[in-house]
Amino acid sequence: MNAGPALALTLAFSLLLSPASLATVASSRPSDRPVEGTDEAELWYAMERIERDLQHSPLVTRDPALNAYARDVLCKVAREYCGDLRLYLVDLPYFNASMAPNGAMILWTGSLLRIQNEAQLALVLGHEFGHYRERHTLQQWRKLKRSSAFLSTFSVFASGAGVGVVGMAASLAGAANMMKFSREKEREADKIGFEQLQDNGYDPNAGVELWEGMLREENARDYGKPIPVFSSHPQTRERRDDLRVAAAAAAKQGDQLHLAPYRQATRPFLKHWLENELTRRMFASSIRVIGDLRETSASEDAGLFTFFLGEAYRRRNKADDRLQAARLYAEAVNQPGAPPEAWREHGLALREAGQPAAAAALHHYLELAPGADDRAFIAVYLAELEARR
Amino acid sequence: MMRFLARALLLAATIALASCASPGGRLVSAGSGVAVFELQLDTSLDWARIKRARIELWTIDGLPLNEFVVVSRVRPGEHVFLAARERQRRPDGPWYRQGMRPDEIRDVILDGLRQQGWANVSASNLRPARFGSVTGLRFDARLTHRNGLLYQATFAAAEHGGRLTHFFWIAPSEYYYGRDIAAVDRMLDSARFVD
Repeated sequence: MNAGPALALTLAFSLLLSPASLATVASSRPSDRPVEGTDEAELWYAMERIERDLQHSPLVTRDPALNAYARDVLCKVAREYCGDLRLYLVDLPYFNASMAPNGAMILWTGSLLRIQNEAQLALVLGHEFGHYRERHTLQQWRKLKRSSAFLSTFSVFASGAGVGVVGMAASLAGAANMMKFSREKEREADKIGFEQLQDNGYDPNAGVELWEGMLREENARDYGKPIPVFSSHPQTRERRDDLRVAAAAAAKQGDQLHLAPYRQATRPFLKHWLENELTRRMFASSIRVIGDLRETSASEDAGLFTFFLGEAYRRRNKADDRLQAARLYAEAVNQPGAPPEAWREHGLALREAGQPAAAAALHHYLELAPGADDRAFIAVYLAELEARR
Repeated sequence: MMRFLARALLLAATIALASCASPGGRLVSAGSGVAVFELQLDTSLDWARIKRARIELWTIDGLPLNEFVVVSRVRPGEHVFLAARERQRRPDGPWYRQGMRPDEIRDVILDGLRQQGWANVSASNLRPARFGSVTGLRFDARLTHRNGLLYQATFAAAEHGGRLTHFFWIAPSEYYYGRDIAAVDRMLDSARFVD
């Protein structure tokens, strides 16, 4: 972080703390911009600097079709505010979303892996839109400036400039998450998201299922800190229960999940997101997440999820995990959607078990993936297996 | 504890490549049979050399621009970059385990890099290699530094005496990687265990 601009911004923020700025914050209206010279304008300025860096980040997913689809869902829930918002899909394997005060919304691809239909996506985006419309960051910023947490929180913002790809995402996420909105504001955002869900005819129960899954993931975590969304939001169980009550009482009982368009938009990225999921090296929660996805996946993707569930067990490598992985690989290769790597792992598991069928599975892998980057090693294994015959 | 902190700092300097730095350290002149831990190798390049316990860094133009790293004798349960040890509270880190498959060694090294903030890490061309009498592996990778700069790297690794030794060269894709890759490849291929 460059200390000069940071100090200047700190002073600017401090000086801008006028009595007027402490007044009640009204909801924003479409196309609203902050008044020049206000603390809100400075806050936007700081965010715009970070956002400019983020726009060049290699972590931003730039696929036009996926971005167009996600933006379309965002515009359904944000309606006349759509033009004020920019959505960035950041390729990080955790469930997280955030809303910067200047309209930059970030959704991590780990969320897209866990979300299972368009209704759930609409709920998440609608929640973040709620933070924007109600100008929660500005409110929180003013509250923090009156507290001793100001400087430490400021450093989260200021450090966004020039700290790199993950830092940028974290800094923008900091606008919503690291400042930790109050439970009241999170509930307000939840309410807005839920209203948008209903107004668009989506199934009001979508959120309950999403948070059921998040609760299972949270409970599966056997060490380490909570993942980002859990550290800054109301307790998962409470949130699920609130959504359940709201869904039961909903005036409009839509039934739309829009499962097919969601699957069509996300399917090309599933393999990449599952690979990323395993790089977290939090295998207990990954086993839970992938196991859940496997239960509800489209039949044509069954082999993909079964294979990656096997991968999570193999990489964890505790107790009988490798046996469990071997069983899953054997199942995956008989299911639709299994990637070529399922045949490789099936073959290697058979090889470890001394099974003669290993060679056939490895040959099949090379047939399916003639350009496999590990071909040289597979050839060595095959030569060894064939020499034993 | 101090040893751990020293290694963590070294690791940060090694992997993060966060700032320009004068390479310092002793020089390695081009020549044959250069000893580094339990390895010998031949180099046609001159390097600046920084030595630490079980880690050496060599660089030609400075640490952000090119870096040859040797990590020696990683024990089972140790972080592949010696940054920590496996613990009950953190069982899933990039720990080395004896008897890993070559692709598992590759994956755990790459996960160690991701843990240090490298993004978009992708590997290619996993292949067997021999380092004297020891069988090992080589692979290549592309990755993005946290400042957004694209890098390429080439890796070598082998298990020897129940421990893992790995060494790699990493440089920005633009200019530096292409300039020296042929010479560095020859150097990595020449590596052999001598004890």
